[in-house]
Amino acid sequence: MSDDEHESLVESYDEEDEEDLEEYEDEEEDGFKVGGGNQKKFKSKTDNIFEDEAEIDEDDDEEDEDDEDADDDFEEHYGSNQKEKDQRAYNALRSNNNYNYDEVLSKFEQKYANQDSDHEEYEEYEEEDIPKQSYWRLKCRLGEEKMFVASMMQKMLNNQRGPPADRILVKSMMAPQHLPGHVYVEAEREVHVRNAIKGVTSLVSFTPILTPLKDIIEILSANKKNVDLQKGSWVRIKLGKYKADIGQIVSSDSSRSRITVKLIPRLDLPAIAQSIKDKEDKDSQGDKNKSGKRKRTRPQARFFNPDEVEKLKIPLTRQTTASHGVLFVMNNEKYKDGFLYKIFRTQSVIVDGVVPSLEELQKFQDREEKQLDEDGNPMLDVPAELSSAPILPRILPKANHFSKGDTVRVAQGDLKNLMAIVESVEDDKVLIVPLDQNIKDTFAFKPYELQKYFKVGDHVKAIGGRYEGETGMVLRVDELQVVLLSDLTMTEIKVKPQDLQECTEVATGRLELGNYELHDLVQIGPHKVGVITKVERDSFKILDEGGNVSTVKLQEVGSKRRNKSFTTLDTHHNTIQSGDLIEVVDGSYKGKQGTILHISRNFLFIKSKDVFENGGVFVVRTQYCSLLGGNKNKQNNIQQQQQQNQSQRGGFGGGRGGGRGGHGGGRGRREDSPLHKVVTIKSGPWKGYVGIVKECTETMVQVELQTNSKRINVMRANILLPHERAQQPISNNSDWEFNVGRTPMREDPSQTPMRMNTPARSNNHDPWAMRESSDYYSSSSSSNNSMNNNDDTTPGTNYSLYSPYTPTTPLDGNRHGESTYTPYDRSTPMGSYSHNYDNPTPSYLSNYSDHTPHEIPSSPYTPHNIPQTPATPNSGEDHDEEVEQPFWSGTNIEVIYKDNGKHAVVLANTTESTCKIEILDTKEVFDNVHQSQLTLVSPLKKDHVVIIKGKLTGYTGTLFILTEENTGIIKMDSNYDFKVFKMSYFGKLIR
Amino acid sequence: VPPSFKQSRACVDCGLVKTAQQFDENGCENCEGTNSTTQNFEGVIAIMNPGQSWIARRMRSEKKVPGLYALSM
Repeated sequence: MSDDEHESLVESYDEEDEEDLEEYEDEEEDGFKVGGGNQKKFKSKTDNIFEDEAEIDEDDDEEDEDDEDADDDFEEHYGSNQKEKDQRAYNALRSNNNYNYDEVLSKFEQKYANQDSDHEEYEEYEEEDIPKQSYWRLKCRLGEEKMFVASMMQKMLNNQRGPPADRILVKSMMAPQHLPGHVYVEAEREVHVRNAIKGVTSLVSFTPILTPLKDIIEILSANKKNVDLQKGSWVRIKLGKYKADIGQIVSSDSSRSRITVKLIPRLDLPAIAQSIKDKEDKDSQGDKNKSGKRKRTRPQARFFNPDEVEKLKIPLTRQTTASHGVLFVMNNEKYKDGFLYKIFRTQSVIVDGVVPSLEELQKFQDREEKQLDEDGNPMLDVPAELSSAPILPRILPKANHFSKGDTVRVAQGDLKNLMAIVESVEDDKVLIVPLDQNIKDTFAFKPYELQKYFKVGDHVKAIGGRYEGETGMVLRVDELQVVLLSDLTMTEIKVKPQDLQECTEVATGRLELGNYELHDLVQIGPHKVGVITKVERDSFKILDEGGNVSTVKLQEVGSKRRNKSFTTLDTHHNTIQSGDLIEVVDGSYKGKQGTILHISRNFLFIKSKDVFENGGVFVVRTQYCSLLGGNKNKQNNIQQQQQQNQSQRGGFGGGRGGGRGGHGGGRGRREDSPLHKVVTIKSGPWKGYVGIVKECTETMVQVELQTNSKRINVMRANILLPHERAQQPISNNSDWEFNVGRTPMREDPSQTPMRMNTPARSNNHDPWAMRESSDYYSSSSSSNNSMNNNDDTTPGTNYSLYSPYTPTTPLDGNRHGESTYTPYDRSTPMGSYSHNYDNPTPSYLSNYSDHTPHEIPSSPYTPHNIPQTPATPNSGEDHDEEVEQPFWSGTNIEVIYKDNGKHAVVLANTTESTCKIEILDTKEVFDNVHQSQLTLVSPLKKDHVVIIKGKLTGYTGTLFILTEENTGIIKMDSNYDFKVFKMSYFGKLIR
Repeated sequence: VPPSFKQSRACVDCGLVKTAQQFDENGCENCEGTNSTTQNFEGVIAIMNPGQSWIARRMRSEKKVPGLYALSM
């Protein structure tokens, strides 16, 4: 029998019978003798023979760890004497046992087989039930656990052959990595543990503490968990300059247990520069004293800036690596995008349970965003994966973002790409039902194995991340992100799938943050105000007066402006205030209707449903707006009245006309004031509504509607007092304009302020309006300093500047001298003066009394006379200035061909004075017909007309009203503006 | 048994912990042939009596040689 065989038998044998072995410990010193003795002693028992053999071999075995090489080691390890002895023992044993060896062997084999099966049973039993050993916990000095365990192992091996008192009888001893300072011992008795740890220095407590098996199982199973060093996960540095700093894993090398961590560098650039300088100095001078002390203070964590470094002349090199792209290298440290890329040992960072604080995240994220701004598209660069490595990958690693009903796709494992619907969600697993009809089972997955799945067109809501709370429609789905069209901003936003959830609701966005709410008017700079158009997580999108949108942090937003009570005048000089419905009549938002949110100086912030940008909020000048429900036709009336007045004045003399007006005004104010009366609105969008007049001016009344308590401004002419039952054909009586003087109400000079609007009208509707009006302001303020303190936002005041009682009269001359002034405007005589009559704001009174202290406002007789007197020459002046062009130009105009008296249409203007016409009924075409041979067909009311002379040549419009003055009021197609032209200035268009 | 944990390595197959030098000299006592080792292990357990240790059984190392083993790799 070979030794090998023998030994393998023995080994398995003694495994079972170690206790027997202990019995013979004393005799073990001399294997030979013992063997012999035993043999004699138990000769009859074959079992024991093997036991002896086992014992001898046990010696060998215990001394040599390698049982395979037992024989070789045997010879090596034993001294020659010992070897001889053992050899003899072997021989003796063999010779003694030879006679029944085979028999014994077979028996042994039998037993071995039995034992084997026993063993298996035993194992199963053990697996199920508690082991017979107990577990003891020892406290060890930190960091020495492993060495302690190793030394115990060594001690056990050393003492194995020593006196039994020194033997280590514990079965195992473990030092788990995650429980520093603790060592767990497996032993049968506490005494064994106590004996084992005798004389060991690294223990803190020598009292073993019994530990339940449950804990041990936990420790063992916890150990099996492998910490994954995934890219993008957060770590904290344990030691060194960056102690406790947060970092993000960029890459890891598991075989070398090294990870590259992205950190915010803590650089003391001046110090580095200094040290380099010192070094140079040292090199040149050989001075050794200058070795700088190690800095104790910790430099501030700041982003790395290559420019800054270069300024300090610190050597900086660029290096391109395959894994990280272009890096800056300084002092052997690598920098990229402002971050420090440093290699750490796995042991020197904390990986588990690292949750970055919000500030830390912010820093990382800010930088990332900045990077975007600077480079434009760094996402497409080489380190695309790096920069797009989710910045917030594991803030809430445990948070389960799935919910029942979500459509998911399996992202890893055998069932990858399986589509399923989430059935239920438990702590750390998600039960899903595959969409495939053939698979009926539900599967449990770990959340990280699943990925939310969205189709293009799904309506989703962001439940996390920067855009939390926003909803939108999925436009496209990229690898890592979903592009949404936000409902709120109508812009594309990119969201990670895990932050999304299908939903049907439409988010309105957050409504408030801090003290601020959506649509608040806030101060965003010393001279800048804006309206909050969107509330984000910690910032606002603010639209300022210039129409620019900026993102402003909560902290940077200034005080709220409360100016709900401000009023201003719109283009038709209706008083408007916040909450009013207006229509934009000019500018880029022309045609849009909306509600005034705020009034700031001469800007209105409008909220409109027709506008999509900025959540429907836009900014527009007051001059471009028209109050809905205000009198849109005001201009007509004004002009007609003016003309009427003028003709009257021509007849009776300006003084008298004015006098009558003034008188009427006084009366009207006293007697016919509808204030606090219940009135019915006769026209406009609020037609038929009943309300109480809350305020009234000469032209306008503010009516509080009974239906919704809303105050609207209505032309005074458009209200019906309860006692006057639709008696006056006020609104559209064609002969109204000829009868202005008849009824006091209409004759009422309290209406004459409408005429005051005339300059305003021309201001607002002219393309040059702003320029002109600003000229107004500037010139007026320069000519009259006393007016400087007037509030610009009260247009009434502005107009009162031209009051004759103030020394601003020369301004009128100025204005007429303006090159931008169009002849059409001049054709509205009295315009510049009429505003002197009155004006609806109290400022009139103040101005009035300021400058003419002798006059009593309640008797406006005299003052009204005064301005009217110079009016006449002025109107003449206006007409004189107009140089009417002799020829007109334009096509599709209906003319009468004088030669045959037939109607014709102008086809083309061949020269300045001739044109090509086509006779309408005969279709004859005449070339080069001189304009003197043609008569323009006078258009009728509501005819489509085109301007054929003057600056606005080519503009089309609808003839609104023809007056007897040979002028017509045309509603322009371009801006629905009303303009007054002489008959010769427009021609009838043929469609 | 490794004299120190500097440059200690664990056998990838069985988890036996020894120094790199020891591995070079003797290889792994449990696993035959040349096998790979790793530095990347955590926690150690000294299995002194593999046959009788319940933990060893649990870790399926009851047939291995006594020695230091890695708890996790």
